[in-house]
Amino acid sequence: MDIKNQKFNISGMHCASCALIIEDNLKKLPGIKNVNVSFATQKAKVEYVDNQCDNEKIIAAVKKSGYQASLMAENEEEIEQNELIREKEINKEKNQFIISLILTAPVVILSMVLRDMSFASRLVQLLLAGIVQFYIGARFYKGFYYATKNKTANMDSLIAIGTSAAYFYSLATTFIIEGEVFYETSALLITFVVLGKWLEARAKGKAGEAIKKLMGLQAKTARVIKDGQEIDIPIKEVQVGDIILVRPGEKIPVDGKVIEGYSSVDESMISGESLPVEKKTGDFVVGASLNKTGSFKFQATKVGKDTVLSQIIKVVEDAQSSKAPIQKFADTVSAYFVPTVVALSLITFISWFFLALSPFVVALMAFTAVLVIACPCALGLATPTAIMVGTGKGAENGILIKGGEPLEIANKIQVIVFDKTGTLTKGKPEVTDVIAYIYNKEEVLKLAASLEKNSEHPLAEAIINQAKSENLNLINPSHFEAISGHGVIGEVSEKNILVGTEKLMVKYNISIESKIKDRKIDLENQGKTVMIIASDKNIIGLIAVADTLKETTNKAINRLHQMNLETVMITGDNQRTAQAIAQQAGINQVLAEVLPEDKAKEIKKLQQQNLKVAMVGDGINDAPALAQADLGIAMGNGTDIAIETGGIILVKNDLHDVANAIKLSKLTMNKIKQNMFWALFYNSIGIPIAALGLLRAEFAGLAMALSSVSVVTNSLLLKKKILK
Amino acid sequence: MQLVGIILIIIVIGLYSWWLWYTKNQKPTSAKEDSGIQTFNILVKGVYSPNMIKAKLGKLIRINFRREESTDCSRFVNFPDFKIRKELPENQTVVIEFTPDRKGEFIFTCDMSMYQGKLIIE
Repeated sequence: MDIKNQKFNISGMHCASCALIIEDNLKKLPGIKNVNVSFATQKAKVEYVDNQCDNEKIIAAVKKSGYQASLMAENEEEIEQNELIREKEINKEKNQFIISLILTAPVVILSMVLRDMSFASRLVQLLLAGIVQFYIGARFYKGFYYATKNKTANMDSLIAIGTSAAYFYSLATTFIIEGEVFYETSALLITFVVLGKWLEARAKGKAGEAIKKLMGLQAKTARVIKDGQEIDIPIKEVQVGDIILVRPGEKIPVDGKVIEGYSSVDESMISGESLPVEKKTGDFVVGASLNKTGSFKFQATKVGKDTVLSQIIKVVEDAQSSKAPIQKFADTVSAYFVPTVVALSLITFISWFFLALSPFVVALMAFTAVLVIACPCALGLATPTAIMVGTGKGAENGILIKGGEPLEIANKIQVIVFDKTGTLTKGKPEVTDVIAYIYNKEEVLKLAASLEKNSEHPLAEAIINQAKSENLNLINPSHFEAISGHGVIGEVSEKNILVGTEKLMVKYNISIESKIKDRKIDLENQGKTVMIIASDKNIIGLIAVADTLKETTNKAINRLHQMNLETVMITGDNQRTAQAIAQQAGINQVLAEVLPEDKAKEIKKLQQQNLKVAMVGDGINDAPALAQADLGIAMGNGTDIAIETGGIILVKNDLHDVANAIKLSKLTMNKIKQNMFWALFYNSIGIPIAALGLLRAEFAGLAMALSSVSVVTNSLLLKKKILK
Repeated sequence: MQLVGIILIIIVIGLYSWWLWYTKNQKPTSAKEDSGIQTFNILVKGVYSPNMIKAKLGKLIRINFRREESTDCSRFVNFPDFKIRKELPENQTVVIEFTPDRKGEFIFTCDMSMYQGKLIIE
């Protein structure tokens, strides 16, 4: 008999009795061994005999009860499992703190409030503090033991030595020698450290919430149409090419292309775009986005690890596992920290007792205070927690920062170079003017469009679209050649046709009359890109194409100027056209007539002027320039992101996110710097204060416990910052 | 009395210097070959043990991490140079696999950098 355990996500439950209804109905199914439905977690755990029942029957039974059920994915189970263990561990810390507090309170009352120094009081204190020392504090002794075995020291070493010094000295004064007892010091110290660990574990959990949130976005099942039948299948079984039906209110399970229907889709969880996006046949949809109004069918194009969501998760995961260069310093300090503090505490003791000839107890208390005030944890947490919160916040807003390094560089950027087409402009150029010489306008357009049929250039597309809209019959060219950055040449209707720039004409020794040149300049001054059309060495016309600026370009550039950043536009257009567009966009500087392969060189030239340069462009065509820049910012289009290039990826095609990304990087770096400063300042001030005997050891311990909590909390404050 | 103090301080400084020397000259642990995979077992308990491991370039590395403690500090292990961050639930063995593509010394740490180890790729 094969018993299977399966977990299901349940939706539609309103109260605990809903869970009971589902449990009762599932128990009625044949082969069910055990059912546990939790209203709190919205999950069901079912144990059944494999050949007597199956997942489909269970899902159907839940549906029949009036609720929805779906299989829980394997990785979701793993996450949930880790989450449960984590919660258990946090609870353990909490319980240890409570027990420690209960045991320590009477010790504090006896020693500090009642100041009862009687032998009986000392015995009670010894017993209670002893439980704290050896039961709650056992972990510190264990850590101390393992570190010593490995010939090193860790935080446990500091706490174990520090608290033992106070406890065993008190033990001696209780029975053997004359003197005060300090049971409250050791007990309070351990209580404070355990409190710090509990608070820190809780706060750290919050810092890493972004990944969990992203993973939770994934739909669990997909309604696939197979042989005319609608079947719900687990998401991991969906294959490329499957036809999937999505109803209003449902999550889109994977990435794909709409083949039937119309709807509006909320993509905010992926791109940060707050307005719903209209989807019709031919449009791409992204997995995990929410279908709002209509039903539609789409064909899966990307599944599993290839979906946009999976790639976003990968980028955020990678970013959170990376470290900013600034962290190297913290790592080095941490590596030497504890043994250094042990050495300093011993020197403190020796100085007080042997050199300053102070009483033993004074030297011992200063020694303990130095041991327990030092906290490298705050230093270690300074960077990773800020990066976690920063990258997580970015992902929520459609800004994917690939790690600590781009984050640190973004903070130092002085110049931002923008690719023109598709970045500043809509990237959909349209023909605005056709000027004909020798032939008529239709003929010029027809010859140019026929030649451009084989070209993939956006300008070619504009000419072909114009020809199509005028119902011109295009001819297949008998020869075609594209000359990068110059234009195209070929043969149409036995004529040698050239379509391209002035440089192309010069290259083929075609002279341009001054009146044609004047006309061209006139069009270019209006921000239009002008192509010259030549046939058998004669200029036969000009075609002007304009690509309009995006609605947000002007405001976005203005925001960058307000942030004291220089802006530059880079384009293959000639100087006049480029100047006109840059002026419209409000951009300071223009790099015109740059061949695509030379964009990276131009970036390098700027870098040679000792400038830190960011390049904004699409991740595919501008990849070399993005790689050359100190910071590459790749613009996605909401349904596809080029993960390989760029240190920052903007999921949606909105220029405002460039300013948002820089702002977020600055905010995150500020947090890192604040955290680092605080951690360093704390230790460099705290250790001398403790060494001078100005602080009681238990308060030194409290300061230590709270210093790392304060760093994590400071990082969490980043969540509240507004980017726009 | 003061002379004793000075001598003791010198001893402490001597011990500290010895520790610095020892840390610098520690011998790394080499991999066990398991059907062509360079395998290491690292115990997470107060420290990473062993904390210095040596592997060969271009060959798959498998590191079995086992965290036998509940302190939150060591919950995650990070290999920042290889963009790996893994959660280590208590008393479970978590396997990390990757093929190193460059030579050098790379640190692996917990989230707070208190637990530090070194991976040497030759």
